[in-house]
Amino acid sequence: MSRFVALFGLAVRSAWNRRMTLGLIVMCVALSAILLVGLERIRSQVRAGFVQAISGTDLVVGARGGQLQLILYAVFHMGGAANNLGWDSAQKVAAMDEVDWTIPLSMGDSHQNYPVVATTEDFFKYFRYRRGQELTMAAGVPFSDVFEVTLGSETARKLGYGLGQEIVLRHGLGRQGPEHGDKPFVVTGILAPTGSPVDRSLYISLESMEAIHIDWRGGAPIRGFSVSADRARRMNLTPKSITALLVGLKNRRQVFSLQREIQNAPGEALTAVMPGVALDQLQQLLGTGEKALFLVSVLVTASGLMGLISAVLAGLGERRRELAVLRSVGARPMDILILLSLESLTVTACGLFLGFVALAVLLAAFGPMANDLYGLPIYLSWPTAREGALSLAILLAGNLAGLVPAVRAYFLSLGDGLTVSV
Amino acid sequence: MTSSGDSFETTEKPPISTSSSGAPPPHPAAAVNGLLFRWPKGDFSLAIDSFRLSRGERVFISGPSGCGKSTLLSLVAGILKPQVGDVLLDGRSLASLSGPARDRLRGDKIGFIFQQFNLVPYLGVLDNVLLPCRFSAWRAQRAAEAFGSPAEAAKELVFRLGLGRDVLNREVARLSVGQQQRVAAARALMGRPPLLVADEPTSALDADLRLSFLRLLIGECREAGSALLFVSHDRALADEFDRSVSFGDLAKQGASGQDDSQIGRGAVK
Repeated sequence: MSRFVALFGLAVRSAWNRRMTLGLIVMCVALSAILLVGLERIRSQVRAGFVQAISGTDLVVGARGGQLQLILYAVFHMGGAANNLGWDSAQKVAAMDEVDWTIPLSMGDSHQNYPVVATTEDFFKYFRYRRGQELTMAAGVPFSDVFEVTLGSETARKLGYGLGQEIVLRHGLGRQGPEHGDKPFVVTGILAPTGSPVDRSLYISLESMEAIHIDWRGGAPIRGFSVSADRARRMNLTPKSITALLVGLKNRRQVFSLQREIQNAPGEALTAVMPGVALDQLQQLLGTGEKALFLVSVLVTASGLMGLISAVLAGLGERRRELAVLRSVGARPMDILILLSLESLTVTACGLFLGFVALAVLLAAFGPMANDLYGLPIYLSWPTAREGALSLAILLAGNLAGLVPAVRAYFLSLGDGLTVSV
Repeated sequence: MTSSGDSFETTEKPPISTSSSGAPPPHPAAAVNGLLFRWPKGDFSLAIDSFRLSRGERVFISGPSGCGKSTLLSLVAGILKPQVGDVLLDGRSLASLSGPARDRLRGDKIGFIFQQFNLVPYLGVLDNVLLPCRFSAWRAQRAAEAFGSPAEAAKELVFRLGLGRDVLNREVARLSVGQQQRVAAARALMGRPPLLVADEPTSALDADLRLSFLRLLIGECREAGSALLFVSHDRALADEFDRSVSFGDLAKQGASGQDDSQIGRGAVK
């Protein structure tokens, strides 16, 4: 054991002595670790985010269109709907025997780049995320009237809004759209954090959505015509169409028959999607990219380790005398092999550690940005078991790579003995 | 042939009283008996009938470079294994030991000084001197017995070899060749091994430094009770030794063209 400690001390100092060369190798290994572990972390966190986002909803119904697109805008508020579905169609679905509850969603407006979702009180009653978790209020109450708004936790935190705050919604999802400045909203409640897209949204009633567009046609205010907020309040605010409808069933086993029934119903052409199936599709789609990236990371790792092999091998010629000295003080050829292996292990371990530190810094710096820009919940966290396995694989590969020069040194020192004939 | 190695088998612990007083142990520091070695590729062989190095004895072996002196040293060190015959190191038979056991015995019993490049470049002076103690618990223990701790022993040795204490923490690359050889001598003497093997240790030194270095080395060997096997082509140094042997007289060598039976006879005689 003490011999091992002695060898380890020698290995560390030998590596330190050639820190310039090995430093570059450490960087290579660190880069590999950042790529491999970072990719894995993003992958797992994005997947977890998807699983978090919606739960308990059996079908998502929208106008006829792509399944994935429907899920993306209805659940993740990404992109926009090409077509809306009529309110009467939504009512028909809600009235079906098998249906327990429905949550209508209407989108298209925003506030400070956060999407505004118009819905009903049923959203707070029936919406579930992360394995059946209910929504709870962090402060105040859900909206109950026109021109009242409920904020997702992140929206409130990032914009620094509290209860009673007056805000103005913007038409469209960009920063350039015209504002609904004549009809300001007041914050009545803030939702507790969920780790889902709910956090990054604002919720208003369908009637509010109707009210702020009552004097609009085709995406712009009607010139020379405006309806005051008070007058709008007293008008008929029943929506003509919505973006999507979340449906919960009384009996989940009927989901396939109901899906068929909705899609084949006479009248408006509808699409009904099971969120789980669509999420699987999405993950498969991402999976291809993931595999390609993983392959690239593995190649980067391999090239880094080849650099390690060549750097240590190149140094061996100069080190033959040093190895002879070690042999003279009683080192076995096996000790020489262990010494060289430990050196590679030290370099790999340093690279791995550096990689984790850099990854933590990167995640701390850019994680929130990814969340803001793309709604990807990427954050700093402790390494997972899979990341541990990956790190172990890198260490093992580094050690295997280190065996190449180590075995060479073993035979060199076996042949040289005490006299180096160069 | 004095005896088999087994009868001289000693425990690994050093004797409590060292060689400074009392009767010396019965076995020589090193003994070579009826040895025949041939390189596997077969172009060089070496035969030595008998060679003894008593405890504390200082022997000078002279011979031109390339005559096989390094092969002899490798045989004594147990790096090479003879096809016939045996080497006894402090009474223990190398032939009876496995490779790792021979490596260990070498670490315990022999201190080495080479012609050049004696030091591990990434270790400081002190750590270079301490190196034998990292691989040999026996020598670490002996060093500690004499000076309290191996580090103290190393400092003392470095000092006694005429190096200032400021040298201790210096990088070895910053030392002159003469200083490097003294550090190497200090390392070889660490833990008072029974045998010191010096392979042309003065050849890299300036002429005026050689004799002073040698006298210092011999003095410290006497102090440590270590036998000294000193190999050099420089016969001018021979006067400082108890005994001087020409390598040609000591060993019979053969080249590939020679008759094998002749070498055999020489070895077994």
